[in-house]
Amino acid sequence: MSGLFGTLNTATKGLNAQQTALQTIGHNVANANTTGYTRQRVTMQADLAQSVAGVGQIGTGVRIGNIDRVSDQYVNTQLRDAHSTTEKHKALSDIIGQLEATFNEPSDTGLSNQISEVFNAWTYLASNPEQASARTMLVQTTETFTDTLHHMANSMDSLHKDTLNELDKSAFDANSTLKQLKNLNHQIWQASVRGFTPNDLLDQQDRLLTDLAGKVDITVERDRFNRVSVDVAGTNVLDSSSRKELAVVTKEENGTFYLSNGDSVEGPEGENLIGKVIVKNEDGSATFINPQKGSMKGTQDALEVLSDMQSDLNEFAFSFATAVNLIHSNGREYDNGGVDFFNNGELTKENAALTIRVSESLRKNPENVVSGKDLNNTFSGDGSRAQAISGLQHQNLSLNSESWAFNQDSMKIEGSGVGSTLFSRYNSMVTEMGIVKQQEDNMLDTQSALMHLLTQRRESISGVDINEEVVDMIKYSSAFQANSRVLQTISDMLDTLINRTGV
Amino acid sequence: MKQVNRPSDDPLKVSKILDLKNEIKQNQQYKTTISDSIDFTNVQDSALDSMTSSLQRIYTLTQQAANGTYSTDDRQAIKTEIMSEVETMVDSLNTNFGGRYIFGGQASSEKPFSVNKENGGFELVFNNPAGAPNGNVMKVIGRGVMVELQTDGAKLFNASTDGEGNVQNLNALFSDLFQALDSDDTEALGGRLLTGVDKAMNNTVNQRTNIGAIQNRLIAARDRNEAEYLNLETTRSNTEDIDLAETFMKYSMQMVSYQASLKMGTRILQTNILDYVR
Repeated sequence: MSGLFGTLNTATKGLNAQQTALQTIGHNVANANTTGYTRQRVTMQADLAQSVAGVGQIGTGVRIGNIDRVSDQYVNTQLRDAHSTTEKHKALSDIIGQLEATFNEPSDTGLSNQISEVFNAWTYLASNPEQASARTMLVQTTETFTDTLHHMANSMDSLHKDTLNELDKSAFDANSTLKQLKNLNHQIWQASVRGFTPNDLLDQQDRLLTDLAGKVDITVERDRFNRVSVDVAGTNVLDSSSRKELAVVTKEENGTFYLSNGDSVEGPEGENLIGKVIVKNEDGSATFINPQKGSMKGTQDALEVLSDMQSDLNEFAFSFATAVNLIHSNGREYDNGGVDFFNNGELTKENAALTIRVSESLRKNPENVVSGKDLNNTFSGDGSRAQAISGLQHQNLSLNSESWAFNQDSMKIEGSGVGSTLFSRYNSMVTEMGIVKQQEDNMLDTQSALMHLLTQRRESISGVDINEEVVDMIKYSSAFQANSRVLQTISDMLDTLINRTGV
Repeated sequence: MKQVNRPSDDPLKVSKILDLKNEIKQNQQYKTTISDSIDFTNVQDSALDSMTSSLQRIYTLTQQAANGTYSTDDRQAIKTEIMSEVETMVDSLNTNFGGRYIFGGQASSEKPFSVNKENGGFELVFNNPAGAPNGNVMKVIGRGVMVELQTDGAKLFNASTDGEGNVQNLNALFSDLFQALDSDDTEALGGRLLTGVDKAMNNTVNQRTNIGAIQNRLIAARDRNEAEYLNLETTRSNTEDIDLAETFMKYSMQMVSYQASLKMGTRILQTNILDYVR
């Protein structure tokens, strides 16, 4: 429509457009410190022109084209992946850190010190077999050693339980995130179908996806309505129509594996399923998944390391007890008065570190500790058997204690083939654990640097820069002022026309 | 002030530290054993010194008794004195150090020598417990290094062998001596019995030499042990303890960079366009 009223309309449209733009700027500035916020930008388009005969096309003003979110999907995906990897290393590093605290090496109260003390007590007995105090000291020192072993085994057990609970909680958190994503999907669909871009909802979606990625590695696909479909470690858990839940296998009883809520689950035969993650299908069956990243993967790795350490400690305690028992009882000569030094010979490998103790008869009567060749301590100056036991600290013993043969004359354990000393076996355990943690810490440092870089990149694209917004604000408010000037001029023209022309 | 607090700080260093600490503890244990053994051999040496003096006195008395001018009564007086010397000797040989008899062998809580005066007789008895193994006591003074302490009383008791290779013990010698004194047998006194006492003295001196040699070995072992301790401690300190000067210098440099970045950061953050727009 041409004419003055047409121009009035153009000016009004201009005012509205600048006002909307200012509103968006105000929204941006207000959210300058909101995490995960993507800045929004108004795109304006010139409105459809009008054709006037003899003159040409006259423009009719401005129109708001779109309010865009300035975001780069590629950077977002990279950031999500990096976050996944970082969380994996962080989880593993944390748990191994707690394990290190249990070991408490190097220090004067760690197990390595106790081992030295025990062997020294045997050496002392070998040199002073007549002294009753030497025997009492030996029994006391060994009791301290077994107490330390109990404490370590208990701590590792609790840590294992706690870690499993952590894993379960991660799955629970992931499920609630998936639920929120599903609701969000619906809301976003409702808005998109009408042609609007729900910017703030999309921001929330990104935030939830990053959270989820921190727990487990995910692949995200978007459809044209911006709804997401999420695959966890290759298995689909969320799409436009359905949502599946994650769960963790936490218990085993009589050969059947259970989830934390008590449901039983079946898996590949012969494997230990504790700590494995499943996706619950609609028909009630379970699909086993193997996360590759995220804190769940880190926790699973930690569980493995813990189990290994636990069985190593048990093996160590078992070997120690068996070796000392063999020598002390003269090759298990129970009929001739031979007595096992530990647990009356009833120790098993599975719980060795938890149940190892000095035999009761020796605890109550330390004078029954055999120090010499004769099992009844007839010759009080003979310390040769104690000497043989003390010599164990320098002897290489193979891991397989079944293959040990005892030579009664020399009081030595033979036939042990290639092996390592008891002390060096403990030493390797500690070193291995230290190396794993050190590696994780290094990876964490590298990842942190990468995260920092990517976060900066994202901020430079999607973050709110106060300077830029203020400049834009000046732009739009000047345009607003200019438009209102136009409005004023048209109004004056109309006034002239209406009030001062004619009669 | 340690370089490493956790195995993950430097796993291989921690492994080395654990090994070193273990070695140091063993070294200290050996040191105790060596000290004890040196004290033990000292006591043995003094006991044998006393035994030699007693035997010397017995030799002199026997020599005197062989003199034809002495009367039967004189010889009886000599016999009494010799008996008392023998008892003194037995007391020395029965010395107990730290709960064990220094010449008791492996049955070290039983008195090795005694004098049996039943029925008016005088018998020197060496208690050799039945079935006792090797009479010497073994001590471990280093890794794989053992030393035998000469504690076998039998070596002192079996003083000599006669012409046919039969062992003549001290009891036989003294019984013979007392008989000769009772019967005024000056020929025997001046002849084979004097030789017998001389041989007994030689035996004692030999044993004393052996013990001296062992003591020398122990003293050398003690010096080695101390040198080893010094080496181990130095290595451990180099591995485990921090170099205070270096660490403090690193800390100072870090502190300077920290303060510089803080100052720069605040300057940059405070500047923005709103300062310049009216």
